[in-house]
Amino acid sequence: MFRIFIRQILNLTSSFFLLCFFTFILCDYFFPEGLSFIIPIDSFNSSETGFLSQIILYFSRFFEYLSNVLTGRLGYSISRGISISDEIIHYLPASMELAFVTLALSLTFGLWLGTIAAKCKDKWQDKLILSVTLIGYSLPIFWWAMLLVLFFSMWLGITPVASRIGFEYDIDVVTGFLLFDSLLSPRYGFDAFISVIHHMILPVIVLGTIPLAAITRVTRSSMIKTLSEDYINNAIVRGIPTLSITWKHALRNAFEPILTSLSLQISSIITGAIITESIFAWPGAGKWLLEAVYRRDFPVIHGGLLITAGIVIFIYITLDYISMWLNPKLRDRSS
Amino acid sequence: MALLKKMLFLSYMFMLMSCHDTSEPAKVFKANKSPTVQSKNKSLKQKSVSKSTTKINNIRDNLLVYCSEASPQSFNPQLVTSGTTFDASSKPIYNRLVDFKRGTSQIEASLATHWEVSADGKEYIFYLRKGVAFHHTKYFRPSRNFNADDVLFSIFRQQDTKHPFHNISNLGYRYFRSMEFDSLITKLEKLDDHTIKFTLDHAESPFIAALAMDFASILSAEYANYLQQKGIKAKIDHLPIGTGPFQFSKYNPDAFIRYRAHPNYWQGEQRLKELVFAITPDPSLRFARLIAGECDIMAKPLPIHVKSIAQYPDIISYNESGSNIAYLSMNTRKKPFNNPNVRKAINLAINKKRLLKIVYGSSAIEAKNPIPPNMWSFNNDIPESKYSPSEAKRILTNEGFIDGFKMELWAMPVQRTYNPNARKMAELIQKDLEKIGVEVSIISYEFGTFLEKTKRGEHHAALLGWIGDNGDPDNFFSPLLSCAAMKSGGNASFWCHSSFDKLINQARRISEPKDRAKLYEEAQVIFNQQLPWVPIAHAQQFILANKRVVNFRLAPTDGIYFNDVYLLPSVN
Repeated sequence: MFRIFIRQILNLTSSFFLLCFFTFILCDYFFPEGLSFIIPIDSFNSSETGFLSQIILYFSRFFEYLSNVLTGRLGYSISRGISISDEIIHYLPASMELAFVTLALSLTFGLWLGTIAAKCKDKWQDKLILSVTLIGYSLPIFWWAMLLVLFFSMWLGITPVASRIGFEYDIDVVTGFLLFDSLLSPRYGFDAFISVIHHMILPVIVLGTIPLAAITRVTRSSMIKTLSEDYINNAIVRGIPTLSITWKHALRNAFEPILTSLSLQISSIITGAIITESIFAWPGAGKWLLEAVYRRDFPVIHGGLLITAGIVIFIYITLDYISMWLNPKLRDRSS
Repeated sequence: MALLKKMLFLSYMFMLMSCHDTSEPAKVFKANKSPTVQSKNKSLKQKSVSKSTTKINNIRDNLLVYCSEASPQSFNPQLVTSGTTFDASSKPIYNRLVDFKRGTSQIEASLATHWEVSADGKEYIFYLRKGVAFHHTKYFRPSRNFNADDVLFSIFRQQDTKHPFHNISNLGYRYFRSMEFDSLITKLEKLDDHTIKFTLDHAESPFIAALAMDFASILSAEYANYLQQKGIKAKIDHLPIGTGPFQFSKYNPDAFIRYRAHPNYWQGEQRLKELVFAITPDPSLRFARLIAGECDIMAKPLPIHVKSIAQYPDIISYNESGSNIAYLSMNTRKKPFNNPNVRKAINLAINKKRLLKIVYGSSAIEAKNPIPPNMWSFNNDIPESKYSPSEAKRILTNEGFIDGFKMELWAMPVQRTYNPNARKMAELIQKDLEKIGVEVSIISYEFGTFLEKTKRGEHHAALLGWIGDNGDPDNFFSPLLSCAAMKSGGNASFWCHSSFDKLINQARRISEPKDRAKLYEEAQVIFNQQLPWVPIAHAQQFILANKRVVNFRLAPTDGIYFNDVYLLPSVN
């Protein structure tokens, strides 16, 4: 397993290196002056025109770029003048909090609903779940969000409209995760925490609809395949309790495609987060990136995309590692 | 807990009513993954429920939430010209030597108790108020009250290019420059701790009114020295210290700004203990928040929102005829807008009545001059704008544009008081100009970027606007149409007309309103001949607020003041 771990680390670093390289090539080709915030514009200018020296020059610029990126010196935002790394540290926890909660809930409910659908294949439960997930998968997020806000927040008045917490609570930011910070601040007791959860309800529903639908469907198909295996039949015949079969034996074996689908859902959550955060005025990295595009704030767009892509790579490789841990058959692949 | 039980029961029923063929007795389902969020293994102080809800209600009754339309660019009003930044900085945090009486554009004493003007109009002596305390915050404790040094610092920082703070956060001191204060104030001296004397280059009657404007806000010199010693000068614009009714508490970019009442405010502590700006750029979301009760006051409602409050008994609207103008600026530095006849043709080709009806509803009046009709010296003799596409086409043909020409029209993506929907307006103008053969492509940038680029003259034609802030016509003419403004970037048409410029400069120097009015009327005639703009509309300004908000007034000079505003206790 240790060998695999090393291999994954190598995968991670080489992927990130390639990411930086492609980003650098793209930026340098389309918008070389724009990179002046990372590579000082007058450095590495040489009058030599030989082919080899050009290549060396190009790679020197790239390594300067890479070293700045890796040490976190991503430049300063044009519209606000704050350094990009500071802004990321500020905005990322809000998005991560939303993403974690969404992922946890959609995974939980997805597994549960998918299993039910698989067990009741072709019965009304299955049909209901399939049709509802199809609808959920096809809903445009912004429309769905507005519908929910209209119904629950404005008509019924049971959920708040936007923001992470009610304005009555003046919480000092310690970790950036309001779920923790609201508990760390003793002034309001439990109320601030309830307010945070209350404010999270609609954004999590909106953001989690598509992952939920996708996970449900993948679980269903994977479980159907697993439940038709011989050993399940064998277990039933031998008298092992049904619930135990379903949840302990079948699901564990069916988990691999679900894990693969999960890593795809990460990207879906990130794109969904951009829209969800804008609609619910959730001060996260998605909203920050979107507004940077409006403002043509190139250092922010560059830094934000690099970090986002880096996070996706990291999560993908981690999930890959977990799936290899779960399924030893995947381990010995000749690389 | 009840919810969890319901879910367990439901899942149990699902399993019961299904689907496997063996007759295995159903077992009670125990969820192996509880749908809860991250671990909360912290010890909590348990408060009784009733005590905490009344406590929250008490907090909410002394906290006003204002849904603002954008993030401020800075907390220092010296650096910018945008109303959003002024609402967030100069209005709550700072005071000026003189201020506007609430709800009007009349001047009243503020940090200066009284003043004397010399006979030649060039010397102004201000006597400063004693006992004015600065804000006392986590990041700075003042050791003295307001005095003359603070006025000197605030003015010199903007005027003196060698001042240690001049280049900090240098977005340019645009307002200071476009009012020509850098050349106007030849000397500012401290006669004693509470008396200062301005010596002007020439007599300038709007000078006192100009000192009530946001860029003339008074900062703390002691704070500046403290920051300089610590080597963090830029904080003066991010963590502000002033003398105003509310002090800065916290800023979460793009999310909220929190203010606390200044306990030692010289006019007495405000009834409102806390003020929160909830930054919500989307107007529909702002409206939704107002209806849901999350916000008490909403900035810049769309006309449709104003119309629909009839169905919400808790919401009332405040309106005021605005001192503003929306216009289409044609960059006279770029072809074909260097030709006054082409500009006239564009003016003739646009159907202003239809534009107003569609974009503003009934909340604006058509504009023919650069100043609004409620401003003195408005020249009503200027004929109303004509709409005649045939004449426009004829003029274009005469000028050699038989097949028309291509142009770019820049429209901002945000609402402003003077223009609730610039993009829609651009589309309507595009349709109108199509009829005379002019092909328009519409371009948009984020508002801050938009302003920067238009100030640099990168546009071909742009939809812009202006809100007058001191009830003086010079406040429209000088920052927008003077030759000086062309250099400092407020004159988006880059139109410098010598006779026009002479008239408005002369009007600034004399103090008799009748004579000034005559000069401004002449200037408007020249404007109507040259037409560097298409003046479009003067909008009424609206604000929607909850019934519980008391004492809130809109000023014709725009801007939101929270002085003396408070909330009635909520009924639940």
